[in-house]
Amino acid sequence: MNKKSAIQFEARIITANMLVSGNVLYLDEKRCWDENIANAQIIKNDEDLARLNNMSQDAVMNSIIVGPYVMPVECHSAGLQPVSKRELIRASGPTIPTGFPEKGKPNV
Amino acid sequence: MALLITDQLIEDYWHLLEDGAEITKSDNNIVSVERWQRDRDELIPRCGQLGILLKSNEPPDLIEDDIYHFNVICLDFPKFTDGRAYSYARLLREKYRFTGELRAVGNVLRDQLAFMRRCGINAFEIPDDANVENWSAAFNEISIRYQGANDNANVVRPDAATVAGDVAGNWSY
Amino acid sequence: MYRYDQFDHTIVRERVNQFRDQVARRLSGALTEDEFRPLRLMNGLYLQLHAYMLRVAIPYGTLWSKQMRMLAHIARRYDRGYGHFTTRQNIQFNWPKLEDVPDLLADLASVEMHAIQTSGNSIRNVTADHFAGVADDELEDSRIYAEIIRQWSTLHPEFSFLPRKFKIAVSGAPTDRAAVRFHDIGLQMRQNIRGEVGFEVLVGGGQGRTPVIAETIRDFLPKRDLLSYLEAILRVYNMLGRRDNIYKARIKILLKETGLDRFAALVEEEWERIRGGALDLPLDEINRIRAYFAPPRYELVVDPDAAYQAARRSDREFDRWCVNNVLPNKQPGYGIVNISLKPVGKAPGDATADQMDIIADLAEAFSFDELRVTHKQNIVLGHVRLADLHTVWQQLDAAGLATANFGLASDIIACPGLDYCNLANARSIPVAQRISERFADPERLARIGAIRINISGCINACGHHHVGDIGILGVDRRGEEYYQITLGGDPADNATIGEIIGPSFSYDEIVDAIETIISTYETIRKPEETFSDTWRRTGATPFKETLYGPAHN
Repeated sequence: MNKKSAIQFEARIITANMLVSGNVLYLDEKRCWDENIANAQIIKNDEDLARLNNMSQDAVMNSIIVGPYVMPVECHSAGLQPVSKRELIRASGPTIPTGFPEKGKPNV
Repeated sequence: MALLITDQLIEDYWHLLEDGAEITKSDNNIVSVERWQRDRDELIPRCGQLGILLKSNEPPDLIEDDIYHFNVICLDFPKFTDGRAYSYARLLREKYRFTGELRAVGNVLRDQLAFMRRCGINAFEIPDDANVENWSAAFNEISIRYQGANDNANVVRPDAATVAGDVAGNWSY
Repeated sequence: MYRYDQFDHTIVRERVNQFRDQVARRLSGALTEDEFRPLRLMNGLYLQLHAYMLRVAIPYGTLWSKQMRMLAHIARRYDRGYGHFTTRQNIQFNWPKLEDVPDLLADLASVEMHAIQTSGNSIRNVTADHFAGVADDELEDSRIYAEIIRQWSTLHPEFSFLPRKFKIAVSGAPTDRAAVRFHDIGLQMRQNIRGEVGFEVLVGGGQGRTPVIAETIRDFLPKRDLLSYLEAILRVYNMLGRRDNIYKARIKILLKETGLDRFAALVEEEWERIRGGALDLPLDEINRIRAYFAPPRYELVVDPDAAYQAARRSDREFDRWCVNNVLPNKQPGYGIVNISLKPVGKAPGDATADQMDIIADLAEAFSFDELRVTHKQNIVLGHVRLADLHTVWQQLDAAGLATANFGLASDIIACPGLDYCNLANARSIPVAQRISERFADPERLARIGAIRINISGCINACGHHHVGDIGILGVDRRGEEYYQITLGGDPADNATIGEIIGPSFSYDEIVDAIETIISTYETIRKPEETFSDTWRRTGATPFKETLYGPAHN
């Protein structure tokens, strides 16, 4: 687990899994689905929420992603960090060393 | 909805009589169990044929003494995950000896057709836009049956004896 | 070992093609996720925390070397080089891609394996005594009947959309090693007063959020009626089991609502109608399957092997492993080797592809090509000559597989927990790792003796915490991982559900708490007492006092 730096503010982002691979994805600033939470688009207001939700639903309809949902994050000086332990582990992989390469971070 | 019987779309000459609707003389009506129990005396002496719809919480023993009145029994799958009607179908065929049309209605999906047929269902209400060829192909995806259901008789395989011989002869640790 | 004939090959091959088509339809968008989910689940494919997870069936835990090598191949080719053996004697791969799964399944089918009904509301992989065929106390090899049930239940048209999942276990020995009292149906082989062998049928057991010990629905069921009786139970359950609440959908809840007597009457009535019919199981068919499980061609060992005895005297580590991990086979001169997948500090039940290959090689060279996966997440080589034990041990040791902790404090059952699982509330694996590190000293392990520590990351109880001597249940307390401790559980003949001992402990506190419990047990036990014995004699008080202080009583 990352050590928490000072929280600057709390926000929300959208996450899902990629249909083909199952990989964890975040909707990013370039309207792409990205494996790196650092690039996730922050939902600033209700308009944002509606717009990003629509984009998610399009991606569901187009068989790109599965099960999108809004999740809370904390914005630190070091970047975005999920609030819940579940999402922390989901973002960074199992907490136990598997002896194998950790998740890659390519753009989708 | 379209009606699939033996790999073909058939025109459905039945219609569902709503519980409040007036009983007509000549139509082929499918009625609910509730309607049947209430208006049985009015429903029987008509010239139209009679069918009944069993909801997923209405097992066939509710109509066990009346089955000979029905040409069609519809089994409702309110959600495809509700599998009660598979057992109802087998009871209707094997316990109550119903030989008429056994029709799956409701949330009937392509990938369930084969299971339904193996339980004795022989008519399927499917979406109007379903591709009949594609849906019919679902019946033949698995050609082998490991167990007796409504469609075959025995757990013992036709070639069991030869297989056992092979094992004794060829397979050892 | 059961081997596929043309019949089995066809059904599995066709099932792969069917699933390939389903995946293609999903990827093309013709199937929605809601429509596809039950289809993929019927083929053991979950979408977990990080990725898809595929659960491969290992029927009654038995496999042969070629199959184990294929699992290694799959780990390398489609996954990240390892797999996780589960408490249901299966294996899970944590990272397959959906688009690869049809090819993966085709590879499995080439060695007579599949993932059919490893998930979904269907009859799951049938489990059996992992010492079937080699234990000296059994009436018959339970795998014969497990295989018969596997075939009957596979792609069952009537029972693929049950109210909830359905688990069956078979034990052929009076000592229950298959936890038959914690299954939806448990089959315990018994002899009746006429000397005939049949089954005591137990029904309605299970763990999960409502742990229940199964009750006997029939004292004696003749073998030929096995399938018709199972069908009668399943049909009654399929029609009457609750479908309005998944937490109340298991057969154990139905039994509570109807009462055993009424449920049994319904089953018997249905059974009377169908028995002797299409599902009649003639002796010829039983014998056909029995032939596959014939004992291997053991050598007649006249003298205890001198070199083996000498190795035990000279090599202390080897001797310790023999004492802890090797049990006598009913054939003189042979042993049952338990390969621990619980090395200190590692994930319980995990094996790398290389380890799988080594285990496969050893099974081929030294154990008649046969392997078993146990519900304690270890691997068994059932028939190793004592004379070969030292060689086997050396090779296991070189591969990190010779941990001498079978049945001891660090032989921990653990589910994948929050590190992998979508349902988990807390992590299981790191807790197991830390406990195994705390009890790494073999002398200390030996002093403590046999003890079962079972860890589940959530109330679904995949880590069998209800039946551990010490059960650990991960809970979420305001976003933090906490662990509730139960004591006194027993999966076997004295089936008992563990009792919650008190308030839960944090992630940082839990290992100390476990050590306190074990130290207390060591202090208060009488000679020859197991943990269960001590627990039954003393009750919770001494454990509560040491854990929470005297004030808590």
